[in-house]
Amino acid sequence: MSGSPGPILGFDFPLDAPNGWHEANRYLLWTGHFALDAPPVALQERIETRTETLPLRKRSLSLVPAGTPHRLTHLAGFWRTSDADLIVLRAELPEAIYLSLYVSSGPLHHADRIAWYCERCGNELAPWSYDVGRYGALAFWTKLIEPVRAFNAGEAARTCSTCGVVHPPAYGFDAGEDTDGERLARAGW
Amino acid sequence: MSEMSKITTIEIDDSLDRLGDWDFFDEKVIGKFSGFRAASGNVFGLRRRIIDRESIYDEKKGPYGDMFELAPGGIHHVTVVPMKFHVTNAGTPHRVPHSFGYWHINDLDEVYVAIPAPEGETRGHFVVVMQKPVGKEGESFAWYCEACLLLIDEYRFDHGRLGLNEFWRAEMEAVARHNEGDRQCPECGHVNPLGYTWNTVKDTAELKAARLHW
Repeated sequence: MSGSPGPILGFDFPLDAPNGWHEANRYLLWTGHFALDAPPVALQERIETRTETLPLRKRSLSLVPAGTPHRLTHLAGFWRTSDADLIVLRAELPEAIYLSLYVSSGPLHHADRIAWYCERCGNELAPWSYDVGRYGALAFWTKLIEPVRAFNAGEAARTCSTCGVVHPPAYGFDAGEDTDGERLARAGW
Repeated sequence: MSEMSKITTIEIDDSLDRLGDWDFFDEKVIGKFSGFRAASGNVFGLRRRIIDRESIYDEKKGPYGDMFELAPGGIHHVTVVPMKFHVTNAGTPHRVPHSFGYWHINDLDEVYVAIPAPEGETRGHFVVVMQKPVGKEGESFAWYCEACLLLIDEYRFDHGRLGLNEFWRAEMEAVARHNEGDRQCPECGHVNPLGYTWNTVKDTAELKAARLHW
């Protein structure tokens, strides 16, 4: 009988590994790196009805508290609101810009939600909720492409019911899975 | 000013300005995390250390990065290196030699990363993040016999109930009680060295020697 592999003692994730998610118990870590001249990945938060774009610095560590709608320009083409904190670490080094995300999951992390906000009046569009408590924190990041594509499927879903403005197409999180249209959208916002 | 006030442990989440303190690395903000500090559902410890591509150096404690974790098979030597996340799993006894003289057993994961200094600077950023304990979650200060690894002493800190403000006091008390007690292993007879706290300011000559030893 072969021996047990034993317990997992700890985790090590290099920052220069291919962009992707890593599960480490309650934390879900995303490590990514971008060319210095890549479109800037800036953290945006919705504070009441306005969008705040946090300045890009060569080094920054930001906390998005649970319950705050947020997105990352050119990386996440949707607004996410979570029961869990998100931590965003940005480090510009001579060869690349390294970005790390910590999803601080756990027993109080029940749902992640995505939506879009009308660019004119701020009305919430096409809200979608995912049961993280049941399916896990990682599954959200792969599943979210479904509501993104539903949002992009026709102008009706992207049209604000209050003011009639059509929201630009969205895109998911994994750039490697972009359709041509999503790639174009990712370049735009 | 008392020596203990050099350690900052502030529990009040909303004392951080939501937008003004948006960047924890900002020179005006990072000092708030020089001990450990809770913000929303996480606890942060942020240090400026001398960090290049290969090594980490703490100006008070010397070379940094070696860590020991205790697993069913014995002690594992872990090296925290720049540009790599290391996660110490919840429940794993661990210690950083010459930094704190006890085994720390946390109910919550601890995530470490060291980012090399920006160009033209020597001091990079060392980040420790763990979740804020709630309810019955907490941690222990423990001592295992250095010869046979028998657990010889353990003091539990009910972090979720008492809060981060009480952590350093609990650490100091645990170390003091351990050092006052019998440090001889009841199993193998080895006399174990003194424990010591994370903070160096109250090190006596004996504690300094213990810090050098292990």
